[in-house]
Amino acid sequence: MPQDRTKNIVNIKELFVSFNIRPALDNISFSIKRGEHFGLIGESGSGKSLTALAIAGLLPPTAKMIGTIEFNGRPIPKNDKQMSRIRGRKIGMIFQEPMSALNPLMQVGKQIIEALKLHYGEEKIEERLKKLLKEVGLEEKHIKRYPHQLSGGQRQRIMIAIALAGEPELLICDEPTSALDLITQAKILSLLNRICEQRNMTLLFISHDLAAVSSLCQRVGVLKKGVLLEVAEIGKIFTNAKNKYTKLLVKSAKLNISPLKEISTRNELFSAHNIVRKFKQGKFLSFSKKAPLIAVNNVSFTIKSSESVALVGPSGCGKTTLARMIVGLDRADSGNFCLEKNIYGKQKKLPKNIRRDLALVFQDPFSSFNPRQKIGHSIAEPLRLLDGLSNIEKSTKIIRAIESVGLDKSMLNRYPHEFSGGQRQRLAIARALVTRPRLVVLDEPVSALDVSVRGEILSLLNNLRSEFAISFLLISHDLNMVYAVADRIMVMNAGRIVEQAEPKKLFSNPQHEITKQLLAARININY
Amino acid sequence: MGKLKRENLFKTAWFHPSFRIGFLGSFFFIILAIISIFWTPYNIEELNIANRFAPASFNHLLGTDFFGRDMVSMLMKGALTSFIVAVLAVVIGMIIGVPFGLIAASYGGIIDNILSKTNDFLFAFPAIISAIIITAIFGPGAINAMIAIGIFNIAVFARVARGGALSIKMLQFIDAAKLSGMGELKIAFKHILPNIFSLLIVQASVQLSLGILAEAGLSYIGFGTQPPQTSLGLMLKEAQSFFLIHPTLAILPGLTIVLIVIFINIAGDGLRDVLDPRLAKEETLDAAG
Amino acid sequence: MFGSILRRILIFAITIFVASLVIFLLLDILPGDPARFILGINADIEAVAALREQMGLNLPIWERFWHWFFGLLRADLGISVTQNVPVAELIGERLFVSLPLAFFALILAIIIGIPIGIIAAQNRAKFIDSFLMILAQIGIAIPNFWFGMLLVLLFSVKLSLLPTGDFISWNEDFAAALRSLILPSIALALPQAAILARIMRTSLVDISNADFIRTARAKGLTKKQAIWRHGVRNAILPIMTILGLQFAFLIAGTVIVENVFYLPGLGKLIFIAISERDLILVRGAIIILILIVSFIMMLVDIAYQLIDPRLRLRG
Repeated sequence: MPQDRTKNIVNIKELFVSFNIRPALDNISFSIKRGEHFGLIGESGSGKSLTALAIAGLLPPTAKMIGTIEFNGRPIPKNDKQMSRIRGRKIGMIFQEPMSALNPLMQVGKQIIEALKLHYGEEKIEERLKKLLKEVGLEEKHIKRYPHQLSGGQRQRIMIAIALAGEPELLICDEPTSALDLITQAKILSLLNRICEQRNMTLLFISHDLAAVSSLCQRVGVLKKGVLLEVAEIGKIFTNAKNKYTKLLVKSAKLNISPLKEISTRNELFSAHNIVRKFKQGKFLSFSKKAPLIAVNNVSFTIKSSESVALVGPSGCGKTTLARMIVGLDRADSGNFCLEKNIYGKQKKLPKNIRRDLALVFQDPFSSFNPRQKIGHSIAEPLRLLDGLSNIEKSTKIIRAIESVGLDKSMLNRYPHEFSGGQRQRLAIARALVTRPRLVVLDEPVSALDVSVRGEILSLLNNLRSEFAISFLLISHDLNMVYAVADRIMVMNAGRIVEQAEPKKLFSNPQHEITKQLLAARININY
Repeated sequence: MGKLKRENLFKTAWFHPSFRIGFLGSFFFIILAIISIFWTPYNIEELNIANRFAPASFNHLLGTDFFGRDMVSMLMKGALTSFIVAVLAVVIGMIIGVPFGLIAASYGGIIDNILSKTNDFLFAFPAIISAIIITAIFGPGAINAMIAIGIFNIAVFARVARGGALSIKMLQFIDAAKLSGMGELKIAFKHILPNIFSLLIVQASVQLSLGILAEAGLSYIGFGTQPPQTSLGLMLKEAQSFFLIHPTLAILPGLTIVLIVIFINIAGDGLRDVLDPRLAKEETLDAAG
Repeated sequence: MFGSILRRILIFAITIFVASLVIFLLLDILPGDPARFILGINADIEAVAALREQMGLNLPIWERFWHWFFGLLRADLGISVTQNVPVAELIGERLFVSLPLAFFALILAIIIGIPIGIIAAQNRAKFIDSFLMILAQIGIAIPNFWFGMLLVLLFSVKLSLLPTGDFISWNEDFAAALRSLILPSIALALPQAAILARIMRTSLVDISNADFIRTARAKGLTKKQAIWRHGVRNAILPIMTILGLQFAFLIAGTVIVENVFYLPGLGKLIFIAISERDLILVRGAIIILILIVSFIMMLVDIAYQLIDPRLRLRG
């Protein structure tokens, strides 16, 4: 077949997919041109992964599909055996979670070789394997490893090598970087870009992250709840989006957050002195004693009252461990914290008078409430820390807390599953505020939320700070987000705080290597 | 997230066909057993040797055994003993095992290590081993069989409770409760127990049917129920010497055991289907993409 | 890895020590005076005193325990009170019946259960699947000894194909001995095979939803190929632990099933020991059962360590 660049490689016409009778994809039609990079964007549940699986003929057996999908001008075969010849040889696929996507019991080299053998037989296997490894940036020593012995980025490179083994014409990437940390994400994205250019390969890139899509793709389709809202050139999406939802996506990708009113941050509220936390490794009655893992290594810093301080760093740098110690969920091995002259850090249980001045907002709004307890009970729980409250005083406090996050008091009688993710995060903030704490630690407060509600939550946090004069310690890996809400940024790496500065200064003049890497890994939207 | 949804377990399960069949089936046998407390067609303590091995007839729907006792009455009484032993063994297992499991999961460290190692050990041993020890010291009896099965159940429930508690403990609402100053035990009973309750109910159905089988086995070798009481297992023991000539004497009690166990098991499977997030996974696959 | 195997062996040793302590406490201390317990209430004082002397009951408790524990290490389980023969010898003879029986049953359970589980999983939600799973449901519900009775009724009485029991020792007639174990091992194996089939099916269905199966299919394998090449090995790993537990249940099951077929196994011995109140024999039989089961569990754990690269190459 002649390689006609103008011809469409994929044509989808009136595609419906449903589970039982519940529709999951509703009348989707679009095409992908040969050689282009096409992005498919949508939130969780939008049906974007299903679209990819449908193209590859990998829909789960319970899914019912109507409509046509043409690949290279022919409808994809329904027969698994015929379809399997197209998969791998014509269509390569990469998935989100590289750990579970690789067979845990098989050396990764063998998993690549399996794909190579399917397409070339035994011919020049070693040579082809070496070439592939080089292309995806891995070394030969990685061949003999098992998936659990590789890092997330390395596993994803193995996945890419497997997908490339059959020299496919179309590469489908389903959220290939969302399980990776930012620095690795940037590397994998540029690797994908380079490979597609070099091989002249068509790319279907699926993501919830508009920034990632915009850095890689020329055209984008926007999906919401199984409906394809619009398909347009990437530039037009940013400058001239037709659909309301697309506009919202674009707006939240740029993170417009209501600006903070000037707050004076004067006296010191909280300080940490030489905090160290080690974790023992090894098991009960174990013979192999390993050196303890130092998660937090001699960290000291201060937070002023009403100040918002951000703690950023790559995953595994110790920031969450530090946060847990600050609120008393973990104890320090040495060093101490000081909150308004109260010193703590090593004891197992914090006294009430310290505990009520501290609060934590969790990352995952779905698991931060007991599913069998009414929201009102969950929000009331921290009030145990305030002695001598009458029932009326208690309910006033609860109502004030839920109203301060913009929700109605009638919701107190509902159960957690009746709320959306954004609402739950508001409720979590309400619970944190109910004792009127002085310092609130927020552990990745928006990263589990859909992009369209992230802005709202961050604006709410800004408002609450000026209203109640609370200090925030904001933990995140996302520098862009932090830029908008922090007065000061601390960068943490390998258990130490390596640099701290005001956001503007840090962005314009980063000192430490890891800060530079983190800044470089941000995907800037250039439209 | 299926597991975390709050729902009325029984109501949801009722719409699951296998739960309904299993529940109705086991309910039928339970009712028969309960009736036997107050009334049976014939008094099984009265022997009527003249009428032994009578075939099925209008007077004796399933015939009579080697002492001339009515088989329907025997089966009703036998099922009663089997149920009582199995249910009480489950109660023993839950009352002791669940707190053990919760404590092991809550406190962790050495306490968890010792409790779980003990537990793994007990778990590897079927009720028969404790039954041998108990019988050797105290002599055979239905209560001893119940205790022996109960000991095995303790290990099972402790394991299930610990596993469930550990997975719930990872969730952030447990940390939230800790931040509110709640102690480990209070968290275990207020926040963790309600969330693993349905898991325990499913396990109880499994242990109930295993208990009925174990009681039968123990009574059959003479370590369980003793005459003049009867149980389904004991009926099989007593049929042992006659069953080559009168096979129905062995077939009837065995069939009763099989039916009861099947009904309890399919009710349990139905419950598990309703609860198990793994099976619900396909349903939610679309929500993930 | 070497460390974790050593650790597992240490746990085995501790288990045996603790078990022997518990058994000692239960059977030597709990009955009060074991000599009186063995001889019964009506025994005359001199006979009791003689037996106390013979059993070494006049020694301090801890010395009696060490005697019992170190005896165990030297395979000396004491002398049976009623039969005047070393307990180890009595048990050893019986193990030649019970162990092969449990072992045959395990093999049978594997070769019946695993393929049924695989076939059901591969034909998921089709007629074959439902049919096999109903069979498994019934298999689980059947008491093994009752199934044994039915087998006797069918094969020995109606068809006269196989012996009803009357075990002939291995030395005398190997083939006859083997034949008389056929029906008992089938009876023992059936419920375990049904359990295995169900677990294998669930495990394989779980695995076939796994991401790496999707990867394998994306490479260009068909669904069947993907499950055979990548699924089955992963699905069998959890089965191994189950097999260890099953062997424990089979060993215990022999005690019951032997009764149906009048086999001279461990079960019969224990039964005699209990009815004659021979505590020394009971004590020995139980510790041997525990020893076998714990040893098998240890082997399974170690095998798991060797097969799963995540455990083998930890760190």
